[in-house]
Amino acid sequence: MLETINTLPLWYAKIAAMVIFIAMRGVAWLLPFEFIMQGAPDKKRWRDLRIWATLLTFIQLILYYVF
Amino acid sequence: MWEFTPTNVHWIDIVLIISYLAGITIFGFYYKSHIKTAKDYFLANRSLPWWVIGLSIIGTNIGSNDYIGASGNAYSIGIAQANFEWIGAIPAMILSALIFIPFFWRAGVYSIPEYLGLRYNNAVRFIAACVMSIFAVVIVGVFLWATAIMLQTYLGWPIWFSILVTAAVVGFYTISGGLGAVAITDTVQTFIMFITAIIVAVIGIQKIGGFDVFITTLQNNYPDHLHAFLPANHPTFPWPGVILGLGIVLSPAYWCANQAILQRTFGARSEWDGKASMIFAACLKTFVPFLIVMPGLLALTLAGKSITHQDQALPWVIKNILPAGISGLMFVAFIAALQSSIDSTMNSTSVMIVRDIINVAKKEKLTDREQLRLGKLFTFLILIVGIAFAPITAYFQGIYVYVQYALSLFQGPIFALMIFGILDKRITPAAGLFSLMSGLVVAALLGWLGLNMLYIAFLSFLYSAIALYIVSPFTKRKSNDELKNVVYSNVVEIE
Repeated sequence: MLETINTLPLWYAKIAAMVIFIAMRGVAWLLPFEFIMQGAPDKKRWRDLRIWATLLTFIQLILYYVF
Repeated sequence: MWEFTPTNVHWIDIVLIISYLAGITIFGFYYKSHIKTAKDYFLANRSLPWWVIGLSIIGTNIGSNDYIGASGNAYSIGIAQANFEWIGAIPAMILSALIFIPFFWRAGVYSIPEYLGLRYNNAVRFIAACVMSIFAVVIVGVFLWATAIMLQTYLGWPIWFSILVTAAVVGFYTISGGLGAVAITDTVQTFIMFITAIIVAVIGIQKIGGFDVFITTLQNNYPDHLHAFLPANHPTFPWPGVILGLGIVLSPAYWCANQAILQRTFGARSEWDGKASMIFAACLKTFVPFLIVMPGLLALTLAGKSITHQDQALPWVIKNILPAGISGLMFVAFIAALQSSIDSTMNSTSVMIVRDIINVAKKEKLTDREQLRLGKLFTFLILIVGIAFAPITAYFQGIYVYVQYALSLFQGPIFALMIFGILDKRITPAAGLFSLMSGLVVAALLGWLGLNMLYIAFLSFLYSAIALYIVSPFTKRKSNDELKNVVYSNVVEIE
C-alpha cells in the first residue's frame, strides 16, 4: 500500500489541500449565527467569524494555487 | 568564575538586547500586583481581549526550532516548509476556534485534561495531565539550552551564565505575573518578531537587487524550491504524510488539544473573544512563513549552495546581510520567540500539575489560596528542573527532533478522545480510558517498527477512534445532565 502511495502525483496534493480548506469554510457556515456570536458585545457584521474564516481560506486557496 | 569571550558585536546591538531583557523584567514586576486569586494567576481573571490572545498564541507557537530549523529547511526544500504554517495549521485553527474553544469556554475549564475529566473521568484526566506535563518540563530544558547557545555564540556569554540569565528573566515575570503577564509579554515579543521579519526581508531583497531579481533567481536556479509540496516518495516530508499525518491529525491535535496554546483562550474575556483570537492567530499564521522561511530563501539566493549545514542559513543571514542595530533586533526577536515559548509552557504545566494531578490525587480538594501558592511554587520548580535538564540536551544530538517524535506518539490518541468526545455523546468514559491507554501502546509499537512520525500520528489516531466505537456500546455512558455544555448535542445557552 505504501508503494502505491509513493507513486501518487504531486497535483493530487494541491487538490487535497484545497478540498480541506473548502471543507473548513463549509464547516464554518454550517454553524448557526447565534453560536458564532455567543459572547460578542454586539452583533455587528464584522464580528461574524464565518466571514473571517472565509477570507482566511480564500487567501490559502490562492497560496496553494500559486505554489 | 565565568569567562566572557570577547565578540565583535556592535554596542548598539548589546544596548538593544540588554534594554529588552530589562524591559521585560520591569514589566513582570509591575504585573505582580494584579494577582490575587488562582483564577487571576491561571486565567488572567478571564480578562484577555482577542487580539492579545491571538498575538500570544503566535508568540508561543514560534520557537527556536522555527527560527533555526525552519529557515534551514527552507534553504534545503524551499516553500514546502511553509506547509507547517498553512495546511499544517490553518484548518486545525479554524476547527479549534469554531468547534473546540466554545466547549472549553462553556465548560469553564482551566486545562485540556480538566475537559477530558468532565467528558470522560478523572483517570483519563490524570493520565493525560501526567503525559503532557512530563514532555512540557523536558521542553522547557530544551528551550533554555537553545537560548543559552545563542547567547553564548552571539554575545560570548558563558553557557551557565546564559541559562541563569534567561531563567531569571522568564522566571520572574512568569512566576509573579501568571497568565496575564505571559500573554502581554508574548504580545510584545510577537510584535518584535514580525517587525524584525519585515525589516530583514526588505534589507535582504534590496541586497539581492529587488523582488523581481529575487523571484527570477529562485525560478531559474532553484525551481523546486517554489513548490508547496514534495513528491510522495520524499524521505522526510512526503505529501501524503503531510496531508494525512500533519494536516488531519498532528496539526488538529496541536491546535485543539495543546495546553500551552489553548491556556490563554481559557482566559478570554468572552467566548467570542476566545474564538476570534484563534482565527486572528490563523490570519497571522498565514504570514509566519515570511518570518521564518524568508531568511532561508534569502541565504539560498545570496550564498547559493555554499552553506555547509542548512541550520547555518539564519546565522549566515544575521552575519552577512544585517547591519548593526538590525542584527541586534533579529537576535532580540529570536530570544523573544524562545522566551514566549518557555513562559507559556511553564504557566500551562503548573496549571496541570496543581489542578489535574495534585487536586485529583488528593482526597481533600485544594482551596483557591492553596492553588495559587502551589501554582507559583510549581512554576518555579518546573524552571529549576528545566535548568537542570538543559545541559543534558547537549549530550543528545537533535533532542528537539526526538521530543517532537515523542509528542507524535500521544497526540493521535488524545485528539481522538477530544474530537469524538465533543461530537458524539454515545462515547463512554470506559471507552475513553481504554482507547487512550491502548492507543499510546499502539503508537509506541508503530514507533518501534520504525514508521515515519507523520504516519504514526495518523494510524494511532485511527486506532483510538475505532477503539472508542468498539468499546462504547458495551459500557455505561454519561447522562445528558453530566454532559451539559461538554458535547455538541448538549449545548446550552449561557450568559
